[in-house]
Amino acid sequence: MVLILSLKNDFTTNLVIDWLCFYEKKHIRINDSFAGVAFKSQKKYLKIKDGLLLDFEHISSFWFRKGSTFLSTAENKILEDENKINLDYAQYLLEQKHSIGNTGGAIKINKLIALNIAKDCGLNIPNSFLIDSKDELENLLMSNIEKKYIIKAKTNISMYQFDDSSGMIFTNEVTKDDLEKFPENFGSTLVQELIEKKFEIRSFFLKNKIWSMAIFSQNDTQTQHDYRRYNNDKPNRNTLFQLPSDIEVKLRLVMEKLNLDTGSIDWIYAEDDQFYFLEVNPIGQFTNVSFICNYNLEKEVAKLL
Amino acid sequence: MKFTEFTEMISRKKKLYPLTFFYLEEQKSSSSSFKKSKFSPFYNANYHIEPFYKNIHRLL
Repeated sequence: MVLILSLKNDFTTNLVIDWLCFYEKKHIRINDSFAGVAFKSQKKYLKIKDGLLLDFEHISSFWFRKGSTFLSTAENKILEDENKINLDYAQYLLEQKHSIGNTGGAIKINKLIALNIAKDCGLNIPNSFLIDSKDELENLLMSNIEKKYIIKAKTNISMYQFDDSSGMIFTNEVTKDDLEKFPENFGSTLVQELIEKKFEIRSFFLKNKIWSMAIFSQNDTQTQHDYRRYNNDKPNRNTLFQLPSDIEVKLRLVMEKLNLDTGSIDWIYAEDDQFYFLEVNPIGQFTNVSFICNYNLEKEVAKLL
Repeated sequence: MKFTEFTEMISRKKKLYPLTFFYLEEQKSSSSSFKKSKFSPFYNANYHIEPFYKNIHRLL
């Protein structure tokens, strides 16, 4: 039995399940999180929801696509400590299974740490700053007049769901003209030097294999700072791309150090003909890369489960 | 919570939020312009994949 943890609206999971059906692999998809764990005699069960248990022995492989494995619902610290032992044990049991995305790195991923590790592994990264006051930001902008800067989300969450709509955080350029609308102090913000690009690259990493796509977003003012500002009337040109082998070797090292066996990686190929690592998202979308480049990545995932 | 309630909360507690939240953009998925898009609403708008995915294995 292939166990999948995902979210209800994750379209990529549907596509992988299509392939699991094709390969006649039994599977069960759980959205959001597991309800808990149950122990009976010698048997250990994953609690799918109240009254529905899945024997750990029946789980042949596990794909952690999205969601949270377990949510603590204990009403106080004492019970939480008790509960944590059970949940950590269940997590350990899942980690013993053949799996994708279940190496522990996805839960702990931190964009700032990833940048540091990428730099340590020999990859170029944009000059990055954490700034929490207008004075500091002004100082940075005014003392580097010849350079441009962007602000971007520190977390891997850029879309927030609300009752009536959703909100999206894009990467935006910040200039001295923006300063007047900012408060004196604000939450620490990731500010990066803007890298002038020839094109962007989106890579999908799965068990040391890498598939990449070039995104020509720089010629459209709507998409030049963030290709996710899709121009529906005139979409960016996207095409298959092969990263140089030395860059792929360094990326494998980064993923190993981040304890990730899968993820989507954003790059810039800059005007200076250098590759710049931007970030890795362990639960990022890869169906766009798959469809546009005809990589059949969902099939690759299904084959490995 | 509604989108405007959240943005109002950011305005009241500006010191707590990173600057990126000041640029939060509302995405109304039910807006007519979204529906009229010639391309897929799912990913990067290059392919209209919805009619195909349900039976993708039958296309082999």
